[in-house]
Amino acid sequence: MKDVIIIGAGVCGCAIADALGEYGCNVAVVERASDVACGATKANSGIVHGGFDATAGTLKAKFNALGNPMFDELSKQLDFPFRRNGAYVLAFDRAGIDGLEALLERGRANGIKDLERVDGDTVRLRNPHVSKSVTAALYCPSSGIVSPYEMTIALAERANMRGAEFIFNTGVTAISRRGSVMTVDCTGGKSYAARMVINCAGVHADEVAAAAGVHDFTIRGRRGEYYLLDKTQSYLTDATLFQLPTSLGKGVLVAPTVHGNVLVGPTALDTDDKDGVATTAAGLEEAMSKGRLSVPSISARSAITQFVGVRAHCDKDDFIIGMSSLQGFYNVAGIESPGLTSAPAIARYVAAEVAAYLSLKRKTDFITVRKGIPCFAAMSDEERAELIASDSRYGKIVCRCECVTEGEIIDSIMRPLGARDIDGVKRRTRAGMGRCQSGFCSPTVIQLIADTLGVPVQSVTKCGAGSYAVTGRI
Amino acid sequence: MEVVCTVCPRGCNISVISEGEGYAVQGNGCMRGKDYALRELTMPMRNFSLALSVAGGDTDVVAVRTSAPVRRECIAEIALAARALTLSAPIKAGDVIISKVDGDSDLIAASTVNLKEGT
Amino acid sequence: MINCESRSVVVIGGGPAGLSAAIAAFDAGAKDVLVLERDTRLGGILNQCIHNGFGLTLFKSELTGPEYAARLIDMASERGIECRLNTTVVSVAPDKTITCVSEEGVFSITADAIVLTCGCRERPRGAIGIAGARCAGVYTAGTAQKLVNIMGYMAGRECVILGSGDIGLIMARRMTLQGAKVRAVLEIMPRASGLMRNVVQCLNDYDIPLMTSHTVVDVLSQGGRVSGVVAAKVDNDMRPIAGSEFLLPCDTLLLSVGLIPETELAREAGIGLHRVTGGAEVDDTLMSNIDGIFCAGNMLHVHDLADYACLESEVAGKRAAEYAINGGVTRGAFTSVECGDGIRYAVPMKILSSGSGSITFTARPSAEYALGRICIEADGEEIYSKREAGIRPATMLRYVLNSAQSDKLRSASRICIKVRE
Repeated sequence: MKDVIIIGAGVCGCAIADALGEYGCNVAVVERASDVACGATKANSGIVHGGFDATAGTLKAKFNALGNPMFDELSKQLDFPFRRNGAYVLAFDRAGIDGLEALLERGRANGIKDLERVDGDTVRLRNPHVSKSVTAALYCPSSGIVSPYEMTIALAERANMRGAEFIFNTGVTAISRRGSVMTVDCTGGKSYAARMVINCAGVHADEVAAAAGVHDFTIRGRRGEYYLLDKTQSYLTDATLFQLPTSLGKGVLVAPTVHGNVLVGPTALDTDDKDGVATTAAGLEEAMSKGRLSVPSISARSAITQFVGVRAHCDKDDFIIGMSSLQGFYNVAGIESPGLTSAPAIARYVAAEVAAYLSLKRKTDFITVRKGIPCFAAMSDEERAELIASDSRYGKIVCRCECVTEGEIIDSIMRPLGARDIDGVKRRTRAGMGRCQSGFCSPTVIQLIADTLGVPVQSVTKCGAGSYAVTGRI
Repeated sequence: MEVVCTVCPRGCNISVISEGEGYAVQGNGCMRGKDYALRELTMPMRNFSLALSVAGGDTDVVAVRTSAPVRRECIAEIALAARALTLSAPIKAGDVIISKVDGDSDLIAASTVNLKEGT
Repeated sequence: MINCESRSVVVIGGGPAGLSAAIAAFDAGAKDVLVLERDTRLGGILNQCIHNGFGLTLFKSELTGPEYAARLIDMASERGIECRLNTTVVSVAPDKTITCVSEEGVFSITADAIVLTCGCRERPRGAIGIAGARCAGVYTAGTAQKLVNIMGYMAGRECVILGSGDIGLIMARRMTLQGAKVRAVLEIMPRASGLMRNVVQCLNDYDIPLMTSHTVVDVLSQGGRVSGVVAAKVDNDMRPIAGSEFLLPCDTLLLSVGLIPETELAREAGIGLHRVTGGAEVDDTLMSNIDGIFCAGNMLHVHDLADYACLESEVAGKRAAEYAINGGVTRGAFTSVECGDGIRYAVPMKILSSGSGSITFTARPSAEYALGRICIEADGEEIYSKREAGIRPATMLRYVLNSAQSDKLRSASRICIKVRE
């Protein structure tokens, strides 16, 4: 029997599994998809928020403020890309200036001290491509950018090093309690027992709660469509550019990614199809036209891909974190923005709560450092030569756009919690993330996955069950 | 009848008009185009190629093609027969894979597959 | 730890253009030619182009891609030209220092002259923003071509092809011959964008409908793989017409929506790129703005025919050899080539006043003409003219000017190429 079963391997599930490792807690993470970070975690803006936006007194405000400062050390320990690039909230009219004032007040109430009011010209002096119609802005230097899926993979890997077991391709059908034992029934007739269950099921958290007989909240899917622009567009902005909500609705952001692309989005549309990540012409057009309000020279022609994330919007409009009405069933639900920023702080908090509930003591010796896959693209010639000398497979460049080697791709598959499909390799190595969008490297990646795992090419998928890359032999 | 010539990339639009016993051909850029257009009227001929699986080679696929044009109506049948073959390395470019698929045209290898190293 | 060597001419890319450039450089007297190729074999994209129809101009016979590649490889090997495989160039500096990576390590090579023949890549789904499911089963035509023709796996069983570029047309036939069903080829423009002969022998022969003025407006998925696409008719502005949508069930969507010159290395080296072609901007010696770096083949502009890419590369190879042997050239004044009526772009973009010998022009028409006359003018005087029937944007025009005509261009202060009806 496990101490804890966590349902969902998104950023919260993985961060909590990792944090529980510090208590020597015996954890299993059950995940419906074939990999970690497959839901909202992989498709969001990747922003480490400054913390001025959430209403004071909410859990969002609390965990955002706690989470943001944790990223410097966490990113070093876990070897994932993170950068404090600063953010501006742009106002476009007089009313907006009042709006910024309100935001500044809210920020101060949340304990965010480094906020700065700047006028339109100052914004443009620092960010020359910002629209002339911007009248003023609020600047937050502590805002950052992170690769959300790489962060989550890193958390999952360290959790795994700390003893957490990950069970993929497994959905939850029912959760029950008998005495002090929680039972989680899963798809495929599997069943797991634990002393406690933590619901980190993201957009499906209400359904998982319902499976435990807990019906006190609902989650709505909120679609957000994004454009990802080519790295050649990185000159457009180095700071994250938010828009102050106007009478025309909530704005979109224009932000650099840690890898040098530019992100434009997200739209916000409530949906009943929580797994619906298909893009729409209307949504993409909206993202692009709104993005152009901030940076008029953005062009859809410089896009390399588009995607949709579905946020878990809770009817209570705040995070739900705590033991549910069913003893032993603990909710971490409604984790929408600033969920990514909050995740490390939520994990620390939840781990302490769980430890108290299960009477576990924090260990003094636990693994802290997780080393990522060597990143050939980021290395100097000398470092590259050394790496190739250690293993010649690092001398075979497979993805030419992002300069990813065969060695890195094989690493990504061979590691604990390694990639099992094309998207898994892509998120771990960036093979296929570039401007040709895997046109050149996907056949090689498919072959490498098959060869490394010792499976036929026909069984290789893009992202788990059913998403076959090829339909058979010629 | 209007014919788009496929002899070369120019793709001439050729008109073929019946004239007494024979035909008048217009719009062809060369003599091969005239022959092509007349042939197109009576019996269209084509070259084509295929990829076939090969066992035991340094690659798993060999490209094959017709050595001379075959009747267009035969292509599907030849392709089906070729895909049903079980081929093994080594195969050299030019090797006959199926002889006389139509008339004097053979299906020949267009690429070379060497034996896999260590076999 | 980083090895260093120096060479007279280094050719980056061992496809048809690169091999042709290397052979021409060798024949022009550069005996120290090196070809760097990323792949495990020479020949580039020809290896996966197993269809016939190559080589009518260059080899006077109809070959498949692999056979065409084999001829060029033989010619290079007869000359003893060194070709280094499995070697990826990661940077080219303006001082002509090349850094490359292979299983042996990181290498630095300094060259007297460089020919960039990096080829092109396909425009992906994201670049044209096709909305819909983000599932498996959407491939560019060239990727599918590699899966089928090189790896031997079916990219799909029931395909819809978006875009009637030549690779899309070729793949329609290839997939059909391998036993797949191709439901339709959709083309957003009112006419096919590939060669007419490919429309005839790849689509018409197999009763595959070509639906012009149509596009894909949605991609549907089931169980993680494409289950169909929603197609729609488009209006004159190429916008989908509401109400014209219809479903095409399929498990695969292949894209043949354009090729883009591969200019990553060129850009890093500081080579100026052309607004229309997306490739390098070159003078009549095919030299870029960086002295001693020449560009040819599909990385210069996308060709319809391998033959023409090779012929162009021969010029670049020869000029690179001259540059290397003479220890550089002094480039004086130049005149830009203007594209007049009916011409979308022309290569070269500049004519040096100092040069000599014959100049070859290639040009891409911007419109269709049943009958037209291509004119090249120097200071308003027509110095070259050729009647052409069936001028189409899909078919590249190519003209070799004689020395006298070329010299007239060199002394002109205005040069224009245009189509007259």
